[in-house]
Amino acid sequence: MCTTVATVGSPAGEVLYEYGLRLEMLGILALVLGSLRFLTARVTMSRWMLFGGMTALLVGMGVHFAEMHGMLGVEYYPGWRKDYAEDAWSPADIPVCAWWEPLTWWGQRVLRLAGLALGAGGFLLEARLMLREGTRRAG
Amino acid sequence: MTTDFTVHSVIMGAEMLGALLLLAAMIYFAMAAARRRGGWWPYVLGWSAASNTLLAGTFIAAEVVMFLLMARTPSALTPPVAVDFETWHLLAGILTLVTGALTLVTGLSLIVGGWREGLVKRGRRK
Repeated sequence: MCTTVATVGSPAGEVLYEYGLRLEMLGILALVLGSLRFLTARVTMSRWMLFGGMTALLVGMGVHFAEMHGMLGVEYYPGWRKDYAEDAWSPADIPVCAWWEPLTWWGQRVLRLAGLALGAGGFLLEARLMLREGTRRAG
Repeated sequence: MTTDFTVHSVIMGAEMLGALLLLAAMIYFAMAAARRRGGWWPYVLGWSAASNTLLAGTFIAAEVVMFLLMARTPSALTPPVAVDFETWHLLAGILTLVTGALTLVTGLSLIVGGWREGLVKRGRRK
């Protein structure tokens, strides 16, 4: 669900990309609310998985959204120290990363991956349950 | 700068595959719901998820083509076609907008599905 485009190029494309990302965030919020409604209708393991997965995806995408809009400044990325060490004149030129920056970088990705996996598992299990119940009812 | 994009690329690839997996699971869920629950919402959910899968597949194909072009020696980031970079960027913007709109439709249909499920549970329907 998360895609990247270059930061230079068509201004109209940039605006459309922004609106697309906002719509996607709203869509994921709607998925969280929908899975919550399913969970409150009947509590099952698959519905917990679905709700947990969608919530994790929303948080992971929310951090990405905040980062893209400059609300969260994260300088960290894997290998940043090596990159800066190559270009720096002295060790004092290497910026200091706050403790939460690696946590934010890795955390959002782990949350998104876990959310996607849990959500997919939840939908699959719920569909299987639905089909099994239908067969039982028909029988 | 000799930035190593390996970790980033692997995570991004896993995210794209995860998104495809989620969309495929949504389509299966919608098919099961259409068969067992009825109503219009499983069809909206299924078709919007299917369209989103197609678009996500297009994005992944574009990323793979871009990666292959970058990996070539000498690097050829701009595809050898008569379309400039701005056009590709605009196309990506339009695709992202449509993907976002489809995700919203999927989410709204899941809310309707959950709401109807609640009504069935309370015995207001059937």
